[in-house]
Amino acid sequence: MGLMRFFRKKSPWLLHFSAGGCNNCDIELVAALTPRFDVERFGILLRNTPRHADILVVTGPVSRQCRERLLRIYEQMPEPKLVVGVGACTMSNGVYDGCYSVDGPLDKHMPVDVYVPGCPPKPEAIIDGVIKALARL
Amino acid sequence: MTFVVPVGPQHPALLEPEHFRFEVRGEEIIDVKIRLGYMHRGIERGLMDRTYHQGLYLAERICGICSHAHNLCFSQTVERLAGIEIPDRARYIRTIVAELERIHSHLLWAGVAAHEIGFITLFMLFWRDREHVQDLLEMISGNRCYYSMCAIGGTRRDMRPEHLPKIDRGLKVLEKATKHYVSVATSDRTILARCENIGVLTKQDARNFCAVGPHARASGVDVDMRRDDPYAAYAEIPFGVVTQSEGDVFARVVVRLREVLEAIGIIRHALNKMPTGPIRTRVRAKIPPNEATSRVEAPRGELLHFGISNGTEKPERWRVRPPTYANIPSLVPMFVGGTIAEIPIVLASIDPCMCCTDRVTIVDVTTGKSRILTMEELRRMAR
Amino acid sequence: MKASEALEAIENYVVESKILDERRAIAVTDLARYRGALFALRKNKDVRHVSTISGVDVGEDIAVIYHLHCGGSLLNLKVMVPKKDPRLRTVTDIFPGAALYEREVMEMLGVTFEGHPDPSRIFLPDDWKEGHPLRKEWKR
Repeated sequence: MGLMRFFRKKSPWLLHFSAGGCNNCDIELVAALTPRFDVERFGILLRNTPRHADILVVTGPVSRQCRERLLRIYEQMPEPKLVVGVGACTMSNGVYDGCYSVDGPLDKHMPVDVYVPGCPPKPEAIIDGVIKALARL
Repeated sequence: MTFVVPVGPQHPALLEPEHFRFEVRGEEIIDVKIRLGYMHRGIERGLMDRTYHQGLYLAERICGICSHAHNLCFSQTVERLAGIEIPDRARYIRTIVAELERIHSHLLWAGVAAHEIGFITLFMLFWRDREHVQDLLEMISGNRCYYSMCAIGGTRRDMRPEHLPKIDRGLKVLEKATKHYVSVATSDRTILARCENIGVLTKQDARNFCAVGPHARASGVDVDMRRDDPYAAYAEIPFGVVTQSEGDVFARVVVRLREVLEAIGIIRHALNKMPTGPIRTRVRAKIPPNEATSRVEAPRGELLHFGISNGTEKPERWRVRPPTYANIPSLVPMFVGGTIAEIPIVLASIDPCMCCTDRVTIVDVTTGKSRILTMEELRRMAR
Repeated sequence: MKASEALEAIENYVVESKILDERRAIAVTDLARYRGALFALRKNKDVRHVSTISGVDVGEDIAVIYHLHCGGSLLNLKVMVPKKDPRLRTVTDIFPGAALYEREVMEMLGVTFEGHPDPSRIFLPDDWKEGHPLRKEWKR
């Protein structure tokens, strides 16, 4: 199992889910893939299926319409799995606090390993957050 | 009998969740039903519960990509309600940030569109060049996104003389890169094959369905809020409104890339003619009863804010109509008659910014069966 | 088109009107004549673009405001609908692009647009049962 842990840490696959956010955190996350920041050199890949993912990256204040789908995706991910909440909305609903139709923070719905604060956090901060999460694997 | 194919909601490369329900006969699409709401956060109600000053920051976060457009439109509406004029220098700074945002938004979109047709290298190149705009915006405002440059009564920050040579250098790089992309887009056979004659929206349909922005201009509708209902400094800056007549995905690509070049021209002109003076007028917290509407040409099209004030520090009612919302109905004639494989690129070509769809339901009218397709599967079919 | 030209086209269909500046005008019409006003704008001034439709709760009534793009000018055409019987005929036959805006006013304020081709939910979650959020009396 030591080898598996080593490989998981060296090449975590991320699953990104936007739970009703404004999209800016999603863009900064995707910007992390692009040449200036280039997370692929750390072995980090963005995958599109929960079955292959190690880390679930969630953005947005968990709008009511998205909640069920978010939980379903979380359940479909195999153990061990990590959850990273990106952006102020996952921590406290951000600016949307008080609006009907938002249901954050994220840890109300699932255990969260790392929160990356910011509105939106810079790609460097997101990468740092993912690396800190890996330390918990 | 229809075949239903839902797709999504979670997506490998950005985009927000929405739901479309396609009715198909075999591979051909015959009807589309739209269901939005995955991103609905209750912002109009939220704006009524906050003061104008607090609302500025909430309004900005309606959309991550056209944040300055919302920031600007909101400020302009409040300024109209209060009946004040802002200083000239503030109008020019607002214009420069608006055009920088247009460039970043169009390059972002171009990267996403390239990704949708499978051209990943081009996606990386567009986003690499987009970083130059992000650097300029960070230099001017302090943040890569959510610049919050508009304050009620003017701008929050001033531009400094040391910014000018850096902006000049950044614009030169962007201009050279964009001209190269225009020549690539108009000559590369893969791009032409995947974009020409796909997702056609006729001028008649664009007008009937009230389409806005580059989406409408690509179908030959000559409308642009910057020229038709001028705001900020646009009445004093000469620029061209870019239109194409074919109305297909390719026309939308060309319109947006050429708009980047126009935006670079507008910024240069604004920097040359920038007036000196204050950047902000004081506005009282309580705004007397009034109604006002402001419209801005956001990167995606006409953005409208309608506000009603009631003598207190909070608005009575605020209405926001973002541009993509106006473009959704025109998707129906664009999809109908096309095939399932075209869905990703046609959807991407309207530049959807709504925490939109990932999710598509396809309903086959002949067999009555329904099918769920993920965006990845649709893309594989499309390549 | 100037705001004054837009108002000229509908002068027989309005109760009152006001020019705010060169490109902004407001007009108030009634239930009997609002469709006539919209039709006149379309026919005589080739106005085809509804920027949006807003609903405002003003106490006893709901003000339904059609924001019409008249070649650069914006005309806000208001019609009052009583809260006790909030019904209007759809305008999607005159302006097909108004379909989603009417759905939104239906959902957020409870106004029924008779004859609407697809009066289904648009923004609120599938399991929403808590009323119309933009009505004044609505509480979270």
